[in-house]
Amino acid sequence: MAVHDSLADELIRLLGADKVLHGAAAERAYDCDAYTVDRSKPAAVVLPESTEDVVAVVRWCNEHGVPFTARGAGTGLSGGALPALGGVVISTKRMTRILEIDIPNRVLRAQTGIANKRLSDAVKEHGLHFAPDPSSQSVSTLGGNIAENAGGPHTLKYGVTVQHILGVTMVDPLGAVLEIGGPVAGGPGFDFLGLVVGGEGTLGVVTEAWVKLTPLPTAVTTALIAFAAIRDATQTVADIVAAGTIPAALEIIDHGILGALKAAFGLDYPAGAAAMLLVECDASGEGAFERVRAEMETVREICERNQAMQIDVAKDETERARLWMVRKKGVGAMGRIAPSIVTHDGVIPRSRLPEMLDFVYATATKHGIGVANIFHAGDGNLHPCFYFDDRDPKQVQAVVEAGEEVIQRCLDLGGSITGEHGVGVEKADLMAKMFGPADLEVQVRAKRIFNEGDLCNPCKVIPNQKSCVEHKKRWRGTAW
Amino acid sequence: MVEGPPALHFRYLPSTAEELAELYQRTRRVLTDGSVYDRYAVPTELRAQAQRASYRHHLYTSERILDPELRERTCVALRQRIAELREPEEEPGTAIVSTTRMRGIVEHMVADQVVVVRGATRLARLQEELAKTGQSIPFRPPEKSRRTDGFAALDSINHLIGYNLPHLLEAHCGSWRDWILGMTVVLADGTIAKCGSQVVKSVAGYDVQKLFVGARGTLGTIVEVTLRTFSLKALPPPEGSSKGEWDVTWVQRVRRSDFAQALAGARDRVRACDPETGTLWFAGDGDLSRYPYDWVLRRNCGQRNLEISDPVQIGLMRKAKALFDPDHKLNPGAMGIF
Repeated sequence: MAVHDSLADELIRLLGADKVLHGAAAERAYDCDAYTVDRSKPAAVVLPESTEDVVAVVRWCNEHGVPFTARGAGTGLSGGALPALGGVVISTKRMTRILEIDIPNRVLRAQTGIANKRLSDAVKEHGLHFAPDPSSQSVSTLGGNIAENAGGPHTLKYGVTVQHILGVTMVDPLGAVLEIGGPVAGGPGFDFLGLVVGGEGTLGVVTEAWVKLTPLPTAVTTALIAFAAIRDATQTVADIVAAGTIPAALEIIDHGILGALKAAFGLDYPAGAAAMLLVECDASGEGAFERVRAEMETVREICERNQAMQIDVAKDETERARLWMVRKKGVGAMGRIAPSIVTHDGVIPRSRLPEMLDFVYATATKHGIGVANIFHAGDGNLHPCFYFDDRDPKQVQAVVEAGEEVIQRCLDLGGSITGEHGVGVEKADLMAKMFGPADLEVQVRAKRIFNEGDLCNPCKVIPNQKSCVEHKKRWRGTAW
Repeated sequence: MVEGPPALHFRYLPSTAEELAELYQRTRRVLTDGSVYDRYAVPTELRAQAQRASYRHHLYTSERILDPELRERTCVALRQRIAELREPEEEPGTAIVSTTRMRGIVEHMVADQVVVVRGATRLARLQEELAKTGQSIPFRPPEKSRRTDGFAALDSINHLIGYNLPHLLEAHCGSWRDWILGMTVVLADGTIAKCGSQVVKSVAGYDVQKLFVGARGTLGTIVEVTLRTFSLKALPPPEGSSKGEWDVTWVQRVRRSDFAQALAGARDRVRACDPETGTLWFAGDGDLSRYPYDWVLRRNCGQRNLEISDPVQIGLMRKAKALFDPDHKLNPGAMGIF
């Protein structure tokens, strides 16, 4: 009998058959997340319903030397939920309960398998929401958002996930339960939440979290502006930021995406538009409407100064949703024009946006592949989408090389290798380009505060970890 | 927030991270600026006496320190009190280090709203520079809106980050952990490392810089910081200067739902408060009422000004200390538990 069967059997004995998946179908379904170029079959998938279940699994894994990886919705783009070959996937999809809602204190406690959007839905009637809004929010889980310190279009003004997590319940890599933080922020001591959020599931399995709730803005106004030249759009963004306003969202969508949107959904845009800029201004409290109007006026002036072709301001909520579709459906629409895309993720200082975009287009041309760009222009976080046919190995090669050149350029311009998607497996080898040996050594020390071993989501984030060489021989699998 | 000691000689004033690293490699025990302050924090009434004795105190911001003549003019009572507060004689081999020479603005990327500064730069100096382009670091401690009594508290950026005290714009703009994009630190073994990045959004690796916020120099010394700036226009205007000396003893943070009660319970002692973050600043030596999930800090009691009682936090802190400073070289006693 194969080794894998007895591993699944033991887990069934531990948790019950209804909490364990195994066999060819399960292996295939869980062999990768949204980073599909690397696949690795797990031996079994467990579906815990509580922190206690997770503790049991982690302790079992420690006793038997089996690596484990937590997984939420599997929408991660850097391979954070890629299992070790023959390891265990700990899926949080049955841990979706909201445990406590405290409206006066604007906090909520939930299990981490809950979808991001459900948090906001639960408190909407009280005029509150959970501010981090990654594009995947209708399916991505709180746990996944915590692991990657997820961003989204509203982060420039509202901050990233770490600014909205007040506490976590985490099962550490040895199976101990740690409660870190709580409903009141700050406090003397060290900021361990700052490591756990963004820890990419390598510091333990977070099963519950205290989240901060933010008042929904009372006044919002959204505009979609068309530009004939991309430089006009990027210059506008630079000018808006320099003017001191912090809009709630500043997104750029280029003609590549617009073309796909037209092909896929028939959405119509001004002819000759090279890029569109989506701007959202919001405010709450006294004088909100006036402030928002004034901010939008400033934005309008700046757009006109930069030769805007057309400025479309939403008059009501329906129109606002229509304008946002350009951003939200953009990446999905790419499926209409090519069989495959890779959505990259890099950051550069805002002021370098124009030259970076020029570089992205030039790189795509050089490699003979297509690129469309959609990005959070307000914080310099770009997402070039290279589209190609993954059945042609030459195109795959071109896409991989083009991606590397783009990220290297981000570093050359003083940026970062990742703004949202995380390092995972995708960019572990790039870490040494961004950080020196002493810097990486200090990151390893930080990791060791929680994780001295090599079983908790191994071989991610930090390159060339000693155990990974052995792991790679025994555990890592690769695609095709 | 804490007043400084009158008579301490900084023997080491390194100018660069490399000098500091080299010093740490050959030293068994180190006290840096903020920790020195804490150890010898002086109660209010004695400060007044010292003032009357013409003791000029703002000496930590400059190297023209500790003119022996000035030291002698300190009033006897003050000296006695200092002697009582002072920890037992410093162990031989303790390096008393001031980071004050490692200051200056390295680069201000105006259009990106990012600034890189050396660790011991005074915040006031940085604000002056940023104001020229309409920018600012939105740190607004409540004591600045009160008449201060001439004793300049340490306001170098590494100290402010190390203590991470609450301030009045936290609900609006966040605080140091939200503004720090990257940092260069010197560890106890002389390692010089960069953490984070120079851009406003990055998830590359572990955010080790976050560990140093509020760590009071016990994990390493901050020698350079990259900060995000804010537009001055976006900040609420500062309140006018209020009367009354800054005689705060306690800082307390409670949940919003407990705030009204906490305020009502000690209204005459409250010197400042922020309902949005549930923070109160109280005067007086009497005890405070405590509330679920709250936390407190106390001033003017030397190093024993914080309480950390959560066993998980203590366990993790000990592990962090064992990894970053296993010999407990840096600022012993600064975090209470080590």
